Amino acid sequence: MSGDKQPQDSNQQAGHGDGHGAEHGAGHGHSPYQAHHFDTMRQQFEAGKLGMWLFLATEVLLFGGLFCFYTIYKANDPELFKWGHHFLDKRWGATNTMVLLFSSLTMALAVREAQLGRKKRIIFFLAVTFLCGAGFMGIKYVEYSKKFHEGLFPGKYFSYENVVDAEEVRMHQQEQQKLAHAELDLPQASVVTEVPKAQGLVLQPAAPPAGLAPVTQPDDHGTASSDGDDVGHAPGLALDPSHLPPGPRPANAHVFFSIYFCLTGLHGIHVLIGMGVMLWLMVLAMQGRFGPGYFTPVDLGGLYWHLVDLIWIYLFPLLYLVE
Amino acid sequence: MEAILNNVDLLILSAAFLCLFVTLAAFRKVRGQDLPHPEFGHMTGPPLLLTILTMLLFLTWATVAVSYIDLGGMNVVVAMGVATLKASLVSLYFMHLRWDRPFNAVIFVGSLFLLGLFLGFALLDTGEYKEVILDDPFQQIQATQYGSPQG
Repeated sequence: MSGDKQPQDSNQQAGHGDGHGAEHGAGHGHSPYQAHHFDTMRQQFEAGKLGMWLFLATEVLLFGGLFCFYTIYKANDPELFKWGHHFLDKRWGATNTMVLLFSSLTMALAVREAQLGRKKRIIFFLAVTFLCGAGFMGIKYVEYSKKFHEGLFPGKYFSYENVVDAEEVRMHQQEQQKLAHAELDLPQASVVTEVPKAQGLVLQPAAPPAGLAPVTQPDDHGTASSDGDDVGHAPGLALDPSHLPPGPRPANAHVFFSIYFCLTGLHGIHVLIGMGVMLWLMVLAMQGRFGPGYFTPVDLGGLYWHLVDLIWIYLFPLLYLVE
Repeated sequence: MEAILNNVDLLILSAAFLCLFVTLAAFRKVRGQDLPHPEFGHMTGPPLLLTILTMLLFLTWATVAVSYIDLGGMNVVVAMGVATLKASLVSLYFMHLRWDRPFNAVIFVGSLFLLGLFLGFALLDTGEYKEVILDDPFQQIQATQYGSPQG
């Protein structure tokens, strides 16, 4: 990641990194981590940092393509997001934001400890950062597995089956409730207008896409008033009808999940890579490489981790909060 | 677990206050001490880093709390504004951009500017299309009569 290749010296003199141009050829007198084409460790550090920022700029543009995917659909079809964001649990999203922000703090502290050369503390803070990343991925696992269970896969693997099943059951529930209501308040005139409404709901099922399995709908129309509320707990429903978005389903509902999985998936891959970087940095720290004169790898790894945090700062409100 | 999750805004708020107390304690601890100066690079002290985390947590709480209120079109603006504020805090302090060489900031802000151009032009373009191009049947007939090379 950093451009600095350093020779494997057994006697390390990290902390005396101020090599001078005059004694460069001598082979000693400057840090073993200083590459030949740099005059000073400072120059090497600044060059590495510049390279890292250039890399981060390409990362921004990489995510930019997916943010464009989001923006175009948000502009053309806001209903898609109004419907879809009900499937995302903003409680988990907020928890993940906290986890990632905290890991950013521990990463910044790890950079500071590397600058001070306190080996045990570097490893401690890197380990905490790693564990926070693991916690983030754990929460992602909980969220993803719920969606996979409901058949909400990205792209062509998306299945409307469970959504439509749940919609049918919910519609049936609403109808039962209205019927029960109607029988209770029979003498009132308003009922006469309400019953046809309920039937009208039944007559127009949510336009199902091709290849639908027949819905397991309870067929107790006659005894509606007695057990009207119990219908919702039909066994075998992968998706709880009460978790459905309140509004009608837009025609291209699956696109929302493609956007969701693309953005959070690419971000999740970055978190995994960042965790790998933490492990690598921990190994380097255990070898006692970091000190006031040489902490570039920790600093650059930190920059990467903060960028991952930065992207999540935008992803969280865009996907979970904004309707 | 479910009860904690359902009150996640309170959870964030309590985390923010906890962080605030830790920050104050950290400030007390380092009072009167000199900050170490590295040979190069900038070293940020724990009190400042904790202050930034406290602010980030309060802003996270704010953006979650606002999402429960319907402000119409303002919800997006508030959410994006808070996110940008948080992103600036992270990049300026956690990523040391405030003390870094300005050229690094130019690269980063430049990439965001180019991203803005990308999104802006994409939005300009996508607004220029009609959903149905041939909605007039007469036009359609004309198109089939005169549009094809054989006709």
